Amino acid sequence: MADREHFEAAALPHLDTIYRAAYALCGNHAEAEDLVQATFLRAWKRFDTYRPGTNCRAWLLRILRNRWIDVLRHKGVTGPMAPLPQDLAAEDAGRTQTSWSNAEDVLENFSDEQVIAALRELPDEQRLALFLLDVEGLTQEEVADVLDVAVGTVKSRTSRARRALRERLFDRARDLGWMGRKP
Amino acid sequence: MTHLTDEELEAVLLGDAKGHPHLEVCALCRSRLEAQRAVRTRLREAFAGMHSSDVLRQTIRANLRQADDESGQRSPAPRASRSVLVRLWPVLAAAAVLVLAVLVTANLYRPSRAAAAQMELVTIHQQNLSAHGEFHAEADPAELADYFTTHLGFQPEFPHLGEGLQLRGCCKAHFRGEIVGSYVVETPQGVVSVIAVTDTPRSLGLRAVPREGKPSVLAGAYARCRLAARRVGDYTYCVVGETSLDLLADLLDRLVTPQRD
Repeated sequence: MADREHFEAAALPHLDTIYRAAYALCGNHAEAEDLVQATFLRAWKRFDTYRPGTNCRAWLLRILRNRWIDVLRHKGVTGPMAPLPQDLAAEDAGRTQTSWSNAEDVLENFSDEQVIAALRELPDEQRLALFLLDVEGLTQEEVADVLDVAVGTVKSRTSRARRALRERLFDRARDLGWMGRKP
Repeated sequence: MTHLTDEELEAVLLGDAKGHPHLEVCALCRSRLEAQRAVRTRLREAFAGMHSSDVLRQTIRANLRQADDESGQRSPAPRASRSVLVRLWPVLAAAAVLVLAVLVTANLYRPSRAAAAQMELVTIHQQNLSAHGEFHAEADPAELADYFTTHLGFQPEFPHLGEGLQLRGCCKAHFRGEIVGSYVVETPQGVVSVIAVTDTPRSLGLRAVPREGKPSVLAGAYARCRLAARRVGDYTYCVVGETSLDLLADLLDRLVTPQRD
């Protein structure tokens, strides 16, 4: 009982963060809530591996990521560990000449749901890295720890993810006629 | 001129570097930096209003409690020797009485698995109200029946409409780890959700409430919502909403098999 209270005291303050991260991965509330529940149950069962005083939020996020990989494997989807497809990288590289002078104005036109939907289109590991760094404010070292990659990988991944997200939103803005087509 | 690398730009963006002399002379890199900053800011804003619900928090607590109880049952205490038991029996007896008292008291207050089920049903209703991306808006019972057949492999019962009752749509939902179907009905008192589950009404912790001149209904309440349920065929139809119990029960009375061409 005391252990469970200790666990709840350590873990539940991070529920909002875990929930938002789950939503960023799943894209809908029902699946996100299932993933969050599974994450907390797994965390509770492995609470003996948690060292008090260390970063509980990062520990929970690591478990969340692993649970998400389990979910994808269960669904037969290969996603989270797949490298950025070459065509996507090439597509990304070909877009770097776009002018961004009115970037903020364009981005403000999108609803929160549209921004999150565009984030959902990024590969899982890019999406999670960008979410943890920009939304939850983790350091690059913490993100690297959660994703189990080198800090250098996080730096390049988040920069590329931000650019890809911006491009997707701008493509949509062009489709909606909010800005001119690319020459 | 050599432009900043992504890593250098990232360092400036995250505040690790105070700035970079190159930015003072290069409009392109300043533009790249501002573009990255704008996306970072907009993304943070997009999630700013998103919080977990109290229902989710309570469900997690109930899950943890259940897991704790189950692990306790799987790990019996080591057996003590007979001589030790004889020596300590007065202490053990007192401890047993104390444990029994604590368990009885705790059981009076803790949410059971049934209470967790009611929380889940209310959560499904709240998600239906938010008209999320998976919600299939449709008012025609035949169309909704087709949706259920295609996506869930069964046709639910729909209420006889009219007198202020109108279908709004349906969606798949998750209940006790299973995918279930739910649809939404607009009523004079507000929107309610009908959720078809295979669990029995009793396993949901609902209690029979007699009604004068009408069949009794199994009912419960969680948060601001009332719940009513009835077994029809292989499914238990749970109606959830912030309305009177009479309205929910009347809606259950109106459940009919959809008429197909």
